[in-house]
Amino acid sequence: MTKYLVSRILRGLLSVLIVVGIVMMMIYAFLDRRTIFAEDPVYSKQKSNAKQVYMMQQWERYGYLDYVPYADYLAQLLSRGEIDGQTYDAAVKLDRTPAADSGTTKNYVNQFAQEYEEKGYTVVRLKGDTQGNSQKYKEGGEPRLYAHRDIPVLTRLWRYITGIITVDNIHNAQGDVGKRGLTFTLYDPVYGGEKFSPAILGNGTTHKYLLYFDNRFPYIHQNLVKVNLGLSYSVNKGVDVAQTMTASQGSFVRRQVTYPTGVVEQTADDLHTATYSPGSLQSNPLKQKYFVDDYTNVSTAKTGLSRLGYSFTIGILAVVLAYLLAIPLGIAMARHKDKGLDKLGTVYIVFITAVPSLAYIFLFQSIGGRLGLPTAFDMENPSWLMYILPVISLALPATANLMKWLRRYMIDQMNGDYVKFARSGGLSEGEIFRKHVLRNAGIPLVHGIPASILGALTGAIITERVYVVPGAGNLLTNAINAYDNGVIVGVTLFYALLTVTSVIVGDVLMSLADPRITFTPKGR
Amino acid sequence: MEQKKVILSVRDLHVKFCVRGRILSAIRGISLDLYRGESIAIVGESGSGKSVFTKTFAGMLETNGYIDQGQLLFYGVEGTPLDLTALRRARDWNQIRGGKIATVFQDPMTSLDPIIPIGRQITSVILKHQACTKAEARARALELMAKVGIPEPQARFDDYPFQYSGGMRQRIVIAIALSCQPQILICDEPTTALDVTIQAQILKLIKDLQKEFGYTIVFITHDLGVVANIADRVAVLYAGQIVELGTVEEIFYDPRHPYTWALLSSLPQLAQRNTKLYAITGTPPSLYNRIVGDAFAPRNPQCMQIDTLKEPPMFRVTDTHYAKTWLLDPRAPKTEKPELIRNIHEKLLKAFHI
Amino acid sequence: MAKRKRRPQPTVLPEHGPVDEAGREVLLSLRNVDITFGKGDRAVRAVKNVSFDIYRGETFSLVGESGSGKTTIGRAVIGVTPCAAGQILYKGVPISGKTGKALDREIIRRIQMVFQDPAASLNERATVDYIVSEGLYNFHLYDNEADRHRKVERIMEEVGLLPEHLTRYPHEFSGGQRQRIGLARAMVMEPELVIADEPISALDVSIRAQVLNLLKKFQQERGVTYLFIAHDLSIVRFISDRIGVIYKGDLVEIAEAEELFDYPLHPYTRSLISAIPIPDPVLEKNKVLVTYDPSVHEYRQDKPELVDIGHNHYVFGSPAEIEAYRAVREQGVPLHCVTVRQRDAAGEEAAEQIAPAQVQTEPPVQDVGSRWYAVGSFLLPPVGLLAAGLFKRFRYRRSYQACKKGALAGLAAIGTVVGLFCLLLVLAVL
Repeated sequence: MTKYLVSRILRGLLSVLIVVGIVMMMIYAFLDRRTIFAEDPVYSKQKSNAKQVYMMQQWERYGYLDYVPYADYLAQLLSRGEIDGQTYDAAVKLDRTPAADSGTTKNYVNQFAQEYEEKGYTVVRLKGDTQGNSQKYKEGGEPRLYAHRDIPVLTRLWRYITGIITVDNIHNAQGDVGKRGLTFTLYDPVYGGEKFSPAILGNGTTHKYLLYFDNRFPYIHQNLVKVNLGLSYSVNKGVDVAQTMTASQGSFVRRQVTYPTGVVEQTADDLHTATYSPGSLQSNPLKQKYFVDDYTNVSTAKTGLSRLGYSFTIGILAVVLAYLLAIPLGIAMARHKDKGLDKLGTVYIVFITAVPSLAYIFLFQSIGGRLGLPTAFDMENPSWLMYILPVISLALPATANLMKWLRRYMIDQMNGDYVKFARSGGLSEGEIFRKHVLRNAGIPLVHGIPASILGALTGAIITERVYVVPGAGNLLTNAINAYDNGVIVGVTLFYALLTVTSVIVGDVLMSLADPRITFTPKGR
Repeated sequence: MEQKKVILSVRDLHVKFCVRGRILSAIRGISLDLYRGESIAIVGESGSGKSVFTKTFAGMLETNGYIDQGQLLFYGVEGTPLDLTALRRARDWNQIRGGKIATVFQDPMTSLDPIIPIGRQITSVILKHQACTKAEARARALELMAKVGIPEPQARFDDYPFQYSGGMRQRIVIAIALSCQPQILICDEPTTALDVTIQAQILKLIKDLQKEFGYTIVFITHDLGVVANIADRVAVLYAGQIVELGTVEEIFYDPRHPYTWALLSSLPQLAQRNTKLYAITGTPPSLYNRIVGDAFAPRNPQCMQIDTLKEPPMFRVTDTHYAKTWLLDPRAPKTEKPELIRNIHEKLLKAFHI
Repeated sequence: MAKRKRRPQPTVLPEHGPVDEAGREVLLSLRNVDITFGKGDRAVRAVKNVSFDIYRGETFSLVGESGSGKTTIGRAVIGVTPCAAGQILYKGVPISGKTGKALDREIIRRIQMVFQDPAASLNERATVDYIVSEGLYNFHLYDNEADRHRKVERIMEEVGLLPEHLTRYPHEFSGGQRQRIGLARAMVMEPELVIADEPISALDVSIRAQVLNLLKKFQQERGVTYLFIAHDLSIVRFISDRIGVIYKGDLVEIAEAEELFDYPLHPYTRSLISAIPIPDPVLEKNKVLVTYDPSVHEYRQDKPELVDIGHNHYVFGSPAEIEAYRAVREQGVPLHCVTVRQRDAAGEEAAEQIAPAQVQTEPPVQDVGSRWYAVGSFLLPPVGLLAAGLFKRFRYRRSYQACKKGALAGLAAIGTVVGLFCLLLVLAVL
């Protein structure tokens, strides 16, 4: 069984890899890379040569190409000691046209061009853009020189895959941080150093807290291993997709926190999330009141759930409700086949199947509104009532689907010989249904349970939009609209992983429910 | 002959089915007495109504079937007969089914719930009919499993049906059927799906247990070899009617109905190699239509004119032997049974070197 | 047979197979065929070192209980199941293992199969016309549409169905009629060898006779050779020329039909013959059931093999057994294998009663060892361990094992996660 499961998991991961590869191929190789600027306000403000450079910088950041500006090249030479500061200053000055460059500049420009062209880069020289006939450059019109080289999609895929999971290291922080290493404490300083709360702290690592306890589920947290699904360009600029999906939302929640300097304050800062930000302590005097080192980049604790959290809460409630409703109703329909109840249920199933989901979601919304239930999500004033309508809107169609299949499987089973035999043994119809038919009919349904639970994580696009739920459902559509390719790839990977997992877990569940199914390969 | 006690008395039973708006007469007037402790075989081809007949008194009739007329009197231990046709409520039937009348079906592969352990399937029936604790039910189930010949019942008690072979499953099915000491055991072709060697073992088991439990066997089959093994009496069914009824010796050594002749003649055990096996021509009549005269007439080589006009009555041959054919009428021409089935006994002694 | 024009077909097979010393033409020949299912340790040898010949025009029957490998041999001949070892020769040409495409097609055309369950082997969504003509279409065995139609109608008539049946679907027919359609489908290809896998066991007695007669008719008229697979010796005796008895993958006896019934030498054959229901109440009711006990053989030192003991009779046994068999056969007295008890000797039977079982009455009442126990213990290992301890105390053996297994797996999983985290912590310091 273990062997079989391991091979299933490996094959699942391979298929996920293939899916992600195909998606990357499509969006990085076939889509015009300029589309990523569609929703970028900075881009539209940039002018002339600066715009070109801005594009290059962003493309480098999002992994399209390697980009080397001439100035960086010179700085590199300087740091290696091949040139002195004077030469650097002289060489870095570009004139309007290459012909007008000074001798030193010409010399180094040629050297730069030669060196990078050998490495397969394209060297670009943008002429200075002047205003009319004057010598003054337009805004952003300074002459530019840089080299760039495209990164092949396969290399990107490889970098993406290898970068999905990163493990923190004490040599991650650049600059002088003092003695690098890990410390283990039983009394987390965040809680004033008196409360018993073990934690592992790092110095030189990206995250300050590698392992800690707090009062949020699941109470024990770690920052050692981080998942990076890809940077967002426009949906949540510069933030990783995983972060976008799991960061809490809503209004700040203030707690008493002891800062490293010993200051105790009511604050929303979550010191456990502190990451290294070089030079931040020096540059920001405000932070010196609270922090003693460069681990100043903290995020804030908020009242609400994350996008995934909202989607999952609504989804899981809907799944539970759907099964609670569908199982007794499906049984009743099967038992009273072709009677009034069965016909009524069939009408309902047909209604749900035939009417577009948007229509009945609005129907539920208006009915719910009449009854005085909140029809929109409000993170500032959360109440359980606001979950009711989204949950019902998701559960009722799922119920119809489950009812349909349960009824059908049960009717199939009712004609089984073992049902006849059980009846001939004197078991009542109720017992036959409970003990035999339902259990057998349930087997194929069991397979779908993990899929519906994990499927809740992906969110429901229409429902979430109608009830303004800040969930994960519209993440993918937003990303597609905004050409946010990083998010598209990240979400694709996430969905693919969910699907593969739910199929495997479904198979395992089915083998548990049905003793005939085993994972040991048989002779024939 | 000792006086036999009747356990079930069937009087002029008519069963009809409603199939897509048409009426199918599956049983067309059967009268039969079952005696306590005997084993009676019901023989016929598929569609002759042999399964439907037993379903009527096992309360297993499909929902589109109904008893059109007739009486089914069950003489339980109490002595007062119970009219089974009057049972309407499912709860009443649940007392009869399993407790008084149990059934063993043809296919042991599908008769057991595939996902419930064998032991629990036996105990659930015991607990249903008898007031006892779970531990007592388990003890009783283990005892039954041992009785039907399951080796190491304790180890196999919690196994699932798929871990049993076909023969073993049929033994379990028998154990479940016998778990509440029924007075009638209906065996609906219990060996058709099994190998010949297993079939012989199962038949022996059913007979051996009859001595201990004292139930009445109603054995449905189309195989006359099996009938010879198990039956005391035989009822030959054709098109929803009993065409011949007699003790097993009478049916095999002195059959009177042409249909019984035909059935015996088509047995390969009696046939000579390199000859044509006797085959009954034609097909049984459609039971949707009203049948005029003798239902077997169109396939009967000895068909007389009257067979096509008037239904024959049951003629008495002996006190135990009856046949429904005009050949027994005094006015009919003298007809001998086919040469092939004369002296069956001697022929078989020779064929099997006994 | 009518002479008919046919476009030349590339033929890979010779017109006739090799002729053995007795002058019979060998159509199909199995040489030391082994068939295994599964791989490695789990491999099951379904057919062990089986060799036999089938001569042209005869009916060869394979008899054995379910699971004996008789169907597997049939499937190996048509190439559905691969042979692990040995060779299958058709007219002297090897047809097992790697064969060319042309040879494959030839074999498919020349060897046809009739299945046990006529309902399951016919395409429910196709008309009888299509079902019967499918092979003709595939091999283009007709000159034009009229020719195909003529062929199909003729075969329908021969199997006793009417031309108007052609437009109907399989579900409109009775079991016997469906088996006739199956037969028509095979026979329209004009095969040389037909493998009939229990073609009548799903049928009523009266219809069995019709189908058997039909098979015989085709043999007489067309010289078809049959490989007949069955578990019921009474039918096999009637239809076969030669019979092979197979027990758990070993061919234990081969002989001509009457020879086998007169001299059933192998004890398994005897048990099969004794199990045939005799349609005679006096004989059948008092027949002594012979059960085969494989432990009577002593095969640890002397490996058994299938040996010819004369009279075209082969028996499987160790050299010592073969000697004994040969001696019995040479006496020439037909063997009794069906014993009938005298009527007054009812006392004997009491001895055969099953011994009363020792029944354990104390708990556990239900010791299912449900896999859900294992899952629960996996998710909550400490609880699982506790439950395992309780189950052990009250002797719930299977439940105890399930809980133990689940709890240990759960602990292992937790250990792995913690271990991995520690490992990564160490990595972080490096």
